[in-house]
Amino acid sequence: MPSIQSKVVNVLLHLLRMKRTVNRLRQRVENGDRTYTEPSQRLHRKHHITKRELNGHLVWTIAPKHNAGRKHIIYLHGGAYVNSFASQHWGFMSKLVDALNCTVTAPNYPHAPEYYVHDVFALMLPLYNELAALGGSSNVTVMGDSSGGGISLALAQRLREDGLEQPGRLILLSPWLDATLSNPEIPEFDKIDPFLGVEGLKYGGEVYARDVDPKSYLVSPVYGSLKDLAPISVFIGTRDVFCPDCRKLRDKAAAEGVHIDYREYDGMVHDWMLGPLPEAKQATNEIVETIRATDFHG
Amino acid sequence: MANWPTLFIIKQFFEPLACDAIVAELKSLDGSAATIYGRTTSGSVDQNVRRTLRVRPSDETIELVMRRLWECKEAVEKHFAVTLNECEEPQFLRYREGDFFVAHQDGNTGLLRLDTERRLISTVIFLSRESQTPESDAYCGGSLVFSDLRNSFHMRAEPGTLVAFRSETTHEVTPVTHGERYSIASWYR
Repeated sequence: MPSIQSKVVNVLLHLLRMKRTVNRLRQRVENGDRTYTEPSQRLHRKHHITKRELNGHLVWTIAPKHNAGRKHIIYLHGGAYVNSFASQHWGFMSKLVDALNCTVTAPNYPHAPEYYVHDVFALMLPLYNELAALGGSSNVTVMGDSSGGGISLALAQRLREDGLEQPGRLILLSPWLDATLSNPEIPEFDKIDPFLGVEGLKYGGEVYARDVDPKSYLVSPVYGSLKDLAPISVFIGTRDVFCPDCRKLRDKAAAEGVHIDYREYDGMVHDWMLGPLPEAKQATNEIVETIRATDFHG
Repeated sequence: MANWPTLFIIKQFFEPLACDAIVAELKSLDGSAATIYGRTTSGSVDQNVRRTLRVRPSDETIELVMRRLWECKEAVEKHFAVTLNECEEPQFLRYREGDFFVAHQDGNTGLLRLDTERRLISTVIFLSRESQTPESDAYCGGSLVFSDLRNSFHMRAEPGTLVAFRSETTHEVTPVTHGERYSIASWYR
């Protein structure tokens, strides 16, 4: 059962009319109303934070001040493919650095509509290859929330297609797995999701795909095979329009004989694990334990 | 690490008068946003990555710089033990207050499939003076800083000085906090 805090968040999301905000995604983009934040001064004091350019885009690295371990997380933020980092992303990455003594690399990957799916992979492939070469692919966890979760899975599928080594683990948080949002169960979830709005999201999916088949695995990884990928963990709430496609992924994995670590939280909204909720603490602990238990080398 | 980064430096690559003349010419011209090493479908530059103006001076000025760079090619080759075949047309850059270029590599990274990957040696020619405190004929901030996982090195800018380094060396220009910084960047392949 969801915590009281979680129920309060549900009410707040309704009061703040978040769903309407998401459904107005196209207008917001056209008005230049896009999310972009950088690490706070508090985080700069707490961690060793650097930024650099790769293939024209900013790549952030957050590490402990001293003696970082070998574990490395590539974190892909969500934002419906059109928005950059929100402040919650930085807080969550900071928690991971603290708990795991790891380094987090967080690219400000190219955003639609100025860029599209191929531009994202033109950054992500060299970035992954660089970090895998630096510390060993098995020491790398690829993690992302929402659209970043979809990109994470698609990246692993692309690595497999290219014959490249898989990361040590994939962790998908409220992942957006099908940009077309064509799952027939979605309208029912749209009624109970107080955060995401399908109409607005469809715009994000369309401009991200541009002229690429929206049902290709690069855009919508739920349509790709799950065989020969790194171990996958999925965290999803049942008040999230992405829940039906996460269940579809779970069932597809079972049909392909692939085990995935599927964790469905009752009554939780999209990206709940990034917020200040008891369930977020629980999910973060599970994520940390999952990464700790991954058979890293070196 | 000893002798890191590997730099090749020529002081007074340009005489002070030549620097002043080039800066005067650049000041008289409008610029456009300098682009970034990399290729995507959008032609725009992420202003969180690089904010700099590129100015195109007269053909004579460009030819002068290219000729001087070509004249020192052998010395650069010897210093870095590489064979260089060509020199890119130089970029004349104006960094205003607040302008910067985050840490980056110019080429030869082995990561990207780009024409700029053929860059082997990068060069920067300083045209204006860096100062710790605001002065009328100098700029503050705008430092050329080399870095790797463990080290960083701040190259002090003196007008007319050329510095060359391997293109895969990570370097940045920190935000200019006072005045205007003028420099010329080019690359040997």
